[in-house]
Amino acid sequence: MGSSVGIGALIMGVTLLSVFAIATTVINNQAEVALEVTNPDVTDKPILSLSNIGNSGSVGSLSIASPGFGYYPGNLVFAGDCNQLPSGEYTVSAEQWQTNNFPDDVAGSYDGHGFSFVELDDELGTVSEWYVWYSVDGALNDPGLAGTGIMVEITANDLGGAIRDSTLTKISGEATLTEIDFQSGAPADTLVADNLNTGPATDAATTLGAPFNIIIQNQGGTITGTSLVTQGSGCTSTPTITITPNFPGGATGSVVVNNMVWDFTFDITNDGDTSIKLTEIFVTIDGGSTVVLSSTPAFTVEYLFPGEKISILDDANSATEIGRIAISSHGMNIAVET
Amino acid sequence: MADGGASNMILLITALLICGAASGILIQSWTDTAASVGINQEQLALDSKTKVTFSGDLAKITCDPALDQITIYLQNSGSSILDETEFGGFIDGQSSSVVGLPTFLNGATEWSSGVVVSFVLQSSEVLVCDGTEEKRVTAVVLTLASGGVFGSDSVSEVVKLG
Repeated sequence: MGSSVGIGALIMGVTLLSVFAIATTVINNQAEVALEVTNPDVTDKPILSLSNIGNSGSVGSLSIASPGFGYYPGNLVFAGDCNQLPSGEYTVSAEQWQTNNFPDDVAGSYDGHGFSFVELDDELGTVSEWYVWYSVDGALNDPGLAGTGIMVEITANDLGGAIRDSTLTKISGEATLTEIDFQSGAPADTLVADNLNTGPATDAATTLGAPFNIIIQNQGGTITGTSLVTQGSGCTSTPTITITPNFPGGATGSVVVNNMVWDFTFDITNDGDTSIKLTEIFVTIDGGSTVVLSSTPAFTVEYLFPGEKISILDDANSATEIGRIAISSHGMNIAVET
Repeated sequence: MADGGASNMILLITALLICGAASGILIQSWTDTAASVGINQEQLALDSKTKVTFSGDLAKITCDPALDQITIYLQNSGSSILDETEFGGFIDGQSSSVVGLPTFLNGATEWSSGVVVSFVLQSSEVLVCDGTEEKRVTAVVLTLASGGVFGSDSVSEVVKLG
């Protein structure tokens, strides 16, 4: 009987101990959970502020509003409110002209006639004046035009093609006439002249009553191309452009900014009391896609500490000015409009 | 005396059997209770680590009036990993389906802490995307399974469709 009571007590004791052990485990777990719930392992909403919003731009491309005339190539001078003004250059067309078919000489019809032209020695306004004249059967009737004369001796009733070829031969014999490329206008008996230097030149002209004419005269000195040397930076408005040729002259030409690429700048300050990982801050421009915060040059730090301020330069290259910048991070959403 | 001893023995043995059975039931009951409480506690603990927040420009939500779709950005602000495939979206209380696959930002491959994921939600109503219409958008997220339980969180914000 005594042992039975002991066994009963033992069973009850062990049972109670087991229950206590389980209960203790449950209570411990509850305490741990209560602690986690009280101090949840989540990222608190940071406190950030945006300031010094800037919206600057640089020149994306240029366009020729008016080609003008009479220009030598030169520079495009920009003016405007920019941290660094852009710079650029422009090119102009080269003078080109062409005669009609050289007709056959008819009983000395070429004698004393000829044509005059101007050679651009460089693209800085230096020119040389020339004229070609024809002497039939040694008549030597020099028309005495301005510049250096080039005599072409022909025989009466020479064929037009032969006269053209003789003309080319004599021209090519002029050692200092190097800046014009003369060609025969095959298969017709014409003469084609291309100035190698760009810029304006006085039109070629034939003497009064000459048996041939200048039929094509492409003007040199019209603006044909532009190039940006530097795009500039920090412009708050579209710069204006002045055409500045390397040699004075030219009129009615106009080059304008075709498009600007706008960047934006702003400062972010951590006004809270916890550090914020920069890769957990996201930016949205003008309601577009939300992307992780970045700057130019790239960040060299990982966190924005309490009280710290960072300056952001985002090379957005947008076609239009930016109107709204929003940043967000862990439930904090702020935005400013420029 | 002998009769008395025998009956006492019977009573004692009976008492021992009942006591043993009761002990077994009690231990089993406490074990089940403890397991149940444990699961609830894990659930509570995981929920407390689960937090999702809106990212992006709430005043200019990307909106497609032709398709009646909006794009929202959600950031994992908790410490548990969220499951981007277990997502519920609501626009003005109406359930919205997710169009296409969610997109991770910044090269992330899983929805871990700090990562932002974009979702395109299909509205069941016509959307006016001119910057005047305001909608209440609610998102419900679920974590990946941890210890057999899932944490969840939801966030709700009024946004302007721009």
